[in-house]
Amino acid sequence: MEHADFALLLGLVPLFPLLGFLFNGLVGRRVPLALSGGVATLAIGASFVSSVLLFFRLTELEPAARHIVIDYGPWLHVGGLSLDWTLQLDPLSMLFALFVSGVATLIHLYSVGYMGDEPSYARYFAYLNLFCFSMLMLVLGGNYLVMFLGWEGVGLCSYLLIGFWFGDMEKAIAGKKAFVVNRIGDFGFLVAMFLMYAHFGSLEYGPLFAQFAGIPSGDWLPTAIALFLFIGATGKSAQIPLYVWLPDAMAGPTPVSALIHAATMVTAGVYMIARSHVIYTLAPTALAVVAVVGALTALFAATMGLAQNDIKKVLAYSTVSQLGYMFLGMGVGAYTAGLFHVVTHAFFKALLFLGSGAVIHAMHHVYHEVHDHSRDAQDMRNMGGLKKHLPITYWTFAVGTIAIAGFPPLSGFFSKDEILWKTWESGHAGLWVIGFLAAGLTSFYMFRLFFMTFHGSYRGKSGEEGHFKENPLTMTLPLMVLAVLAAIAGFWGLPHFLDFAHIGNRFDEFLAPVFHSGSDLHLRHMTAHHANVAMEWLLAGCSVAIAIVGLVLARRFYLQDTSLPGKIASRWSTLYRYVYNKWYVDELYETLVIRPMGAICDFLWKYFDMLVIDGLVNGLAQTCAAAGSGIRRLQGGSVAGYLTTMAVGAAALIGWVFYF
Amino acid sequence: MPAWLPEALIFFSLVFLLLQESFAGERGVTPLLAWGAQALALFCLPFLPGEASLLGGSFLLHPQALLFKAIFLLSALVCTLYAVERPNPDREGRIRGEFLMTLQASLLGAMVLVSAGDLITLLIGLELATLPAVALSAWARRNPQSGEGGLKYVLLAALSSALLLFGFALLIGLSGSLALEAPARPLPLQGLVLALLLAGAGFKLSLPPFHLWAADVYQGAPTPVAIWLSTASKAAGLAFLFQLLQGPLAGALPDMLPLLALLAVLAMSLGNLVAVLQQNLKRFMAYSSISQAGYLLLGLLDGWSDAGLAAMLYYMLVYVIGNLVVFGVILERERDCGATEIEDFRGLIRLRPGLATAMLLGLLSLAGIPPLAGFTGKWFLFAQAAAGGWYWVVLLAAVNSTISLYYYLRIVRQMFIEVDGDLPVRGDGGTRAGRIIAAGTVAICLAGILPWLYEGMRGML
Repeated sequence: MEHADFALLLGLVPLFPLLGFLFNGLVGRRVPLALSGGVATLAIGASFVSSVLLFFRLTELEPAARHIVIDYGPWLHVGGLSLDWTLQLDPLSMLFALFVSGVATLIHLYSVGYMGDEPSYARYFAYLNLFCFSMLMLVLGGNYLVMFLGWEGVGLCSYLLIGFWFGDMEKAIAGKKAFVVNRIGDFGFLVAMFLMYAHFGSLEYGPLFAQFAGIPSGDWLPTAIALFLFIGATGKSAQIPLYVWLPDAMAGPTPVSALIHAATMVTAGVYMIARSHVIYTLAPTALAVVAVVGALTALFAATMGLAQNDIKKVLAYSTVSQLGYMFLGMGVGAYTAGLFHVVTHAFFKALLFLGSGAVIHAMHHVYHEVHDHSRDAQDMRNMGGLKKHLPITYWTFAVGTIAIAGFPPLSGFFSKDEILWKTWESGHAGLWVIGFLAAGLTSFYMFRLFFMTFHGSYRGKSGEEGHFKENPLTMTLPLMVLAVLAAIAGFWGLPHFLDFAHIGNRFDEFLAPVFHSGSDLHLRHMTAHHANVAMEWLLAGCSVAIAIVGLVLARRFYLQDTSLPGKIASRWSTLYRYVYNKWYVDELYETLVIRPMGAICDFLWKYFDMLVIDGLVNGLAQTCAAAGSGIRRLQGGSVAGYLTTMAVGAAALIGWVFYF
Repeated sequence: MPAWLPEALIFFSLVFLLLQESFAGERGVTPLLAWGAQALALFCLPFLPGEASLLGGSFLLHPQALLFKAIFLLSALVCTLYAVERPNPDREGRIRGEFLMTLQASLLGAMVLVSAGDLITLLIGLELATLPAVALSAWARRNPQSGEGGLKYVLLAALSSALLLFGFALLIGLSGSLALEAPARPLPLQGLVLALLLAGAGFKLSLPPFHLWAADVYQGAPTPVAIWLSTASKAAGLAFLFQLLQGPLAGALPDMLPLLALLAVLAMSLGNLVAVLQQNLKRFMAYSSISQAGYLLLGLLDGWSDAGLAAMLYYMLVYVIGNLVVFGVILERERDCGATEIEDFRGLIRLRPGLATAMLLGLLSLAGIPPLAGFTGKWFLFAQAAAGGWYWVVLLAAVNSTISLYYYLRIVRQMFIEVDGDLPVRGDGGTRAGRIIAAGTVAICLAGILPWLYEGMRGML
């Protein structure tokens, strides 16, 4: 093996969480809570440490040599299909491994405090570790099937964790919805894999992508593969039209929302497109579809976030919207910009979710103290003025809000602005306008959430306020770490027009080896000249301006004149109703897809299953029994009969041999 | 290591058991003498020479013989360990030396059979394997069914031996040679020889219409003996068929294929259809083993090839382990409640969850459900038949697999679904047999997903 020294370390990255899962899954119930949570957190922590060590080893290599494929042995060798357990380490997978294991470590730590009262503590950590294993396999896999294994694994864990409190029917249904919608996307992924295997005979990245070299740009094959892959991505990454499961997924525990439904799993679709960039670059039509779907999702989801009252639902729509930005970046060929947003979003969205979790935890605590469980601890209309009770949560949440709203110099500004700039630069002015409007909406709904939760005065019952207390250190420490990261991560990918100290865009440089190996068409994008500095300044200025507009409006609506939202809602009641009910998309799907499907299933069940299948099976069984009782009579138990049968049998054999 | 070492170990263990029984009197024998020798012989197998020829070519050692010996020793070892637990098979207190000695004799016969290099040795091996098994099946003196089964077995075995001997006599007389090889020139009456030898092999393999002894003997025999008959004895039948096909019948195989296909389909269908109706588990397992023998023959339908040979040997091993597990559970249950009716397994998951799980996996493996070993084994066999172009046989085999699932699940239903109401006696349980059953269950699960077992067998041949 060429890179034997990497093999061990690389293998350890997914192995640690797998061991953690086995421990918690097999004996977790029988050990003390501290051990169960501790092992899970240590497992993913060790995985993070391995990733960091790998990162240093990788950066020691020449940039062109940073591509390591390690074969851990055969998996499937059937006929012409040969698949191995291969892992691939390059800057792209390294990046994902780093932030996935890093954010996951913080969220495990947070969960130790957050899930402290949970009876199924070990089950929770077993799922969480299994998720980390699957996610790391997804990003580190060296062929599409290993990626698919991880892809399905994270989907399974997502389902298990959304329905973690399956005793509550609504939550169980939310889990089922996530699973079914994801399966629709997985169908696309599978078809894409079948196409690749049918035409190229391989699913290993290296040999597969090498064969794309001879295919002309715009050919039907890469376009079809890219579009089918994208169907998979819309499922996993909650894009139009398959985004509907993500808001419902908030039924799961909040740390799960932070880890799976904000920071990591939902970015798997973005990773897949970045990994398949060789194919996408050959398929301009598919790229255009990605860009348009991404931009529309960004805007559409942002409008739905405007009128939600559940704190986690707002964040959920915000996640859908931010994922739209990432796909917009992918679609205009700005792969590194999209990936940069993946990373910064992981930090600030994890922070926001954990912050909201801290708020919900504190609200629950208060309701528990006053023995009132009738109110919804996630409804922002019950909150207000929490700033003075939860100071750490407040300040870290503020950092997250400013970051996502796109104020410089926090991370969200740099990454979002880079995507918008690349959109404009590649000549998609219309998409830029959509992204720009969505940025304004983002700022508005985030500050609406922020003000409704932390500012103003407490809207609960009087006398309750004394029961608030700040959360334990295991919960606030991850918040503080993430806040620092959300604040400074932007400087990793400094755009050159703001690069006064000539540090360079380290993020671009790090990922360059991955995308430079692509075709020439792509090189054109990568080396695009940055002549139009004035335009960049102008567009960045516009972004900041609309973020400020959002902030000011939110302040006016929800702090200064709190009767305004009601007035506006009654003035434009139809529009408000549509926004409040999320444009009735769920109802639309219900009518168009689910009910007809139910009717067909009902028909098949009654007339095909019950009549044909059951009839066949029962008929066969009865025939067997009848035949059996007939044959059984041959064996009467008398030795003479047996001997005769044998003799006749031998005679028949002899007869056969001579006759034929 | 000398090539005759395993046979010598078993032989001396037999002699010592006999001596100890004669002189020890009431104190009984040391079971360690039996199973220790078997375990030691099994341990020696990997260190034996790959090819050897002794006694002027009468005793041969080759990889195929080694694999068969491993199967025989494994099943003898498990049978002995099951049998020495109390209460012992004849329900008369301590295990008697004669029982172990007779089992060793049958084992020795099977081992000689696979290593035979000429017709006389082959015949001696076959008879030495069969006659002690007849005695063993009548062992439970207080149980009339045991005596009945033994009597039927001895009479039918006599007829089968007569047919075989007639065939051998014809062969030797016509070819003038004792060698275990194809005659140099076509013999007159070769078809008659073929049919007679095949009838003899069919008896050992319990292929219809020579299967009738199986049900009565399995049901009447003490359970460890039924295990021996369904595993090692059946493997000896397969080994005997192989010896014939490599020896006197070599070259006749292509002409025999339609006949073998017919026998295979007959065995599968008949075994399955009758098994559906059985109420006694041991009788049920007899019909199950008849149908399993039918599947085994599919490996021959692509002609004589290493792949087919490996598929059959792999399936034989998997079938033996599956039967050791299932019969082990039956034996435990028999100790607990004294009977082996399917009804006695009702609600076993509540009574003895470990046993019920082992039984479930064992039965599903016999039915060929992935990812258990039985599925992989059947898959290789079906692939052989398909490679030979026998699609209608494969189709019927698949249909039969489905039917077999139905009756194997009947027992699972008793164990897992019928758990309400008055359950049968639980019994105190917990003999050492439980560990062997557990190990066998693990082996069933692993052998189905780890490819190197089959690959290794194929590489050896």
